[in-house]
Amino acid sequence: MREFRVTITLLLALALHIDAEAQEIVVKDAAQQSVSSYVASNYAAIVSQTPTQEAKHSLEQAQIPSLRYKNTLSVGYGLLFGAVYIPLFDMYTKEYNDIAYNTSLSSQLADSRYYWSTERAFTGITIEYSHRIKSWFAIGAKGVVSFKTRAKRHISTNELLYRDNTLLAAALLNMRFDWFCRKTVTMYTSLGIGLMTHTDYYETYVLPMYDAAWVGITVGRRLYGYAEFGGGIGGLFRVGMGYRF
Amino acid sequence: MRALSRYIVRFAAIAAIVTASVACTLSEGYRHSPVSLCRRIWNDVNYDLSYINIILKKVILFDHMFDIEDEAEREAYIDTMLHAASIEQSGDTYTIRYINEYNTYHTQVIKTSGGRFSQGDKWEVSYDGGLGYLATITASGSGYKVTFSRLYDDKSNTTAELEMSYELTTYSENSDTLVDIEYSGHLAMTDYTESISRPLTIATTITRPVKYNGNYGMTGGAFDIVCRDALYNSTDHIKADINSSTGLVTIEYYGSRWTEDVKNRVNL
Repeated sequence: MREFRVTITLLLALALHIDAEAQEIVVKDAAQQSVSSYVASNYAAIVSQTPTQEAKHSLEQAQIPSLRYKNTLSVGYGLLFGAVYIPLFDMYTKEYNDIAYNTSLSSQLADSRYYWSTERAFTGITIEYSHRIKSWFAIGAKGVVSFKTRAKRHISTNELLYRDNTLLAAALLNMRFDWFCRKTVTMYTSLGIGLMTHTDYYETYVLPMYDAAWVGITVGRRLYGYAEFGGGIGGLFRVGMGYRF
Repeated sequence: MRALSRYIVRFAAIAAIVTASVACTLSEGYRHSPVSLCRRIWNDVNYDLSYINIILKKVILFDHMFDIEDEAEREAYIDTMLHAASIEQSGDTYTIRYINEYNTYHTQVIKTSGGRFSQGDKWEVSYDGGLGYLATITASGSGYKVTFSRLYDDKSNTTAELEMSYELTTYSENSDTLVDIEYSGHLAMTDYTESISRPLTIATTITRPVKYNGNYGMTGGAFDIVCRDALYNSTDHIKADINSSTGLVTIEYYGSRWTEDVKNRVNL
């Protein structure tokens, strides 16, 4: 009976020390009595180890991978190359076609003699590194490469005249804003600005470029998959994988 | 939950691979018919032939003018058959002026040696219009040899070596004169528009004589045409055949054939 009284007293004291969200200790049955005895004898230690609000928050954060790990490395692929949709200047969409624009007999015949084969492209191949400096904000770097190729061939013999390759490579500084973080799901918005080089059959030039993920979602923990809806050189829709460390 | 996230990650990876493979094709190539190429080359040759036909017709009609002794008939002939505004003679050289729809004059000059080409004289015919030319006509065997050393402008030029014969039919009721010309030989066109050092050439060999009727145009002839474009290092070999009965031309290129109307594209 004495022990019971002591236990009750100690528990009341403990309840005064921990806040309303602290773990509740139930002392009703015999099993709990033995626990209570242990608590009573180790009161000081238990009080020091009981999580505070801040500590509990930290604990939760530790369980969310996107908050636990500061660094992220991801690779992905974008569809529908977005640079052509930028209503900025004609420089992004200018196209050369000397044969079509020239009216000499040689050019007219060449226009009839040759055709463009299937145009293939690998657009928005992206590698990104980001470093979290706030729970909701990360900065990093992003590299995006797009490549397309087509061939001018003879209409009858299919003989290759020349191959028209276009390579776009961009380096961007990227900012990422995480606005929904859970254990396996993170949603974010990111924006990157930088430079892009355009290399084709005729020339190479450098242009300003951006890449934005208006809405992005990651699913997974350390190793995760992601999908984004965005604009810019990365493409309109992107998917990929990443690793947090 | 962990197992679920693994599945999601795997699904994302597979979806990425699938979309990547689909996205590889931006646009399908379109391998169009070579008919436009053949038609373009044939039209160029046809243009030369039509022009040559008109020149020969005018020269033959001019030569025939000397058969008309009556001054009034000759004036009427000049007006209706030659469509000339005036003819001036200076020694052995005749200057024929034509007026076009823009009321501008062009001058055809025929230098003779004092006689008629139909009687063995050598004629040199030139024209200073937009489509200039320089041709010589001399008697050769039972017919005539016609050499065009210049046809057209300074950017493209055609030369031709032809063996020609002709027939004239004059109708007494209306004094109209019908010209029937037949010739064979070869033409060589060179176009420097795209490249001076690597021009485009079209060599035409007449494999069956061209038949030209003053009223109906070309009614026969077969052609072996080789178009060589040094700029593109390409050679196009085309065969064209004008069917005498149908008046249609059949063009053949790499085993493919098309048939269409023969158009006389030059009107002086």
